[in-house]
Amino acid sequence: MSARSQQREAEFGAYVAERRDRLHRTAWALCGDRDEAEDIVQIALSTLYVKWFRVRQADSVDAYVRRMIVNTHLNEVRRPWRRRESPGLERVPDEARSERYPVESDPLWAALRALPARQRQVVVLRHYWGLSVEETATDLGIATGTVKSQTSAALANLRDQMGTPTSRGRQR
Amino acid sequence: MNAPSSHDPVDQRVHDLFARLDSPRVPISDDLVRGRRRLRRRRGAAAAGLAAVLAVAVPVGVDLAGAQPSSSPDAASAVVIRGAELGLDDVRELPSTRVDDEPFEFAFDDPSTAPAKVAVRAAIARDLDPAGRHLLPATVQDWRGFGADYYNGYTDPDDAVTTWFQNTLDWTGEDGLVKDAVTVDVNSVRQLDCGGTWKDASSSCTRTTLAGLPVLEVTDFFGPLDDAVSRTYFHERGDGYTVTVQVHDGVDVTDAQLADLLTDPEVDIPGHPTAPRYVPLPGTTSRDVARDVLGDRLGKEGGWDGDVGGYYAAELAGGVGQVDVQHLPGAGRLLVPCGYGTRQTCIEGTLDGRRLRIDYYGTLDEADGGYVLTFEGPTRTIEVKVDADDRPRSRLPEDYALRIATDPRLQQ
Repeated sequence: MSARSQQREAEFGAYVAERRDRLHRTAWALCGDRDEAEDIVQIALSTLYVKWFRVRQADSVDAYVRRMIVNTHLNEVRRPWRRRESPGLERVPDEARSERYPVESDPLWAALRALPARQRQVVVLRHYWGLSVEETATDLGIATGTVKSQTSAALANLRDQMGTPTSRGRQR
Repeated sequence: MNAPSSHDPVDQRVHDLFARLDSPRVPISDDLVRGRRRLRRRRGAAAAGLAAVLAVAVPVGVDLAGAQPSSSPDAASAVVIRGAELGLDDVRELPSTRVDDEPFEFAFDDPSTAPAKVAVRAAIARDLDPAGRHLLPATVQDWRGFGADYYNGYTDPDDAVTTWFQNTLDWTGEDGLVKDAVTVDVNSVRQLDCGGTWKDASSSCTRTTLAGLPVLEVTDFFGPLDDAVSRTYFHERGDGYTVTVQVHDGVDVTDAQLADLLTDPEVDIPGHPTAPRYVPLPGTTSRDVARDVLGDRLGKEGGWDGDVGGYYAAELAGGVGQVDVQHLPGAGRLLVPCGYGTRQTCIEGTLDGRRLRIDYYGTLDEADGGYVLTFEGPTRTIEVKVDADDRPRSRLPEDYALRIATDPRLQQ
């Protein structure tokens, strides 16, 4: 292994060790499925591995990786051959899944899952990462006004849906 | 405005919810190994035609003059755009600007999409469930999205422009169980090729026919024991759009019904200024352009596909690097300006009034240097990605990439 490769291994490994949990939670919050989240993070990290020397020059590696997570999630969603929940899995009683992933039994989780993708992205970036409007706009490549309107709409949706049953079709 | 205040009870609950999310179940070491394995698979796909990206960045300052190739061949010194002979000297450099250009995206409940939702659901009901025994009576269960969007291209093929919509409906099986089981998707960008994408142990892909209709069939096995199955059928229509129907186990429909749905004229994307109809390019167009421009510099060719978001990959003669060509449908809003993300050395300009960008990583004197030249043509945006191997100065001069990107054949 060349010195350059060793450098990449060391730096990349350190970054993953520090940030993987946070990235996984980000992906989980975005896609709503823990298994799929692991796939998304895996895809993003493998891309990061390839581009490490380029990315590390960026002002914020986190920002770069967050964008990859968001884009990877959208790309995965858009692939019709993506891994979707199988009919077999859907027969698993909700109680069993709730035991495995208690957080998913929270009504707020269902409300979050029912948000349009863009609103969910804004909520995750602003509330989990604590980004400002401007930072969120940069991450998502959208206008600051859009971030504000999407944030407002997302919170309004969450307030509307919390405490009320969501449609079965959206409970995925 | 700063990060949201936690005084709002909803804010606080969202915070608390995220704090309860568990960590990944696999150890980091396994994760890293899987990452490298995935990388190897990607490189394996490159051998079959999709060039892997192994470039690393060593950003330095390079101005437009510095970007001039040192050995520009005479044959590559001119390009033709709408009758004008232009070259790198004609690129008018623009000050690097940040364009806060908002991607177009329909809102989830945009009423303008309602007719399309209803029409698609009606088509599914008409073709797959004429007796009305399986589809739930609700209008639309799940509308996943519709719009023309772009992503800020880190030069990955997947960061493509795409016009798409997708609709998933619930289906009541003979056993009375309700399933999220029928998905219909219309997409302007699809690579109908069993190589690469579907090289996965849990999937199989084959070209076949459904009641005489040529399709690509992908079978996915998943679930805890890989015992659940979904079948996805892709049909490339004459207008360049690909219609996809995915059905899970328990959806008992015939081949003829699936073929009817795949060709149903009601399964369509409603017109919108940012979602124009694109004329599909013949699959060999990128290949032909690259062959003509590269000439003796062309080495082993990779692959190309016949879809709207066409992709071509080739090695350079002597194995000194590789070239990827991708044409993305659409023009006008697609070129992300320099300054976004991680680009350290990036040139923006115009050529014959159309935007052009060269995004560098590495230099001629560094190993693994390369660049991505993006040209926003009148019909399509062309991206030419040039990677060099470990040898300094092995990079393909920019004139070649410019000639490929501006070839009028790619703007048909």
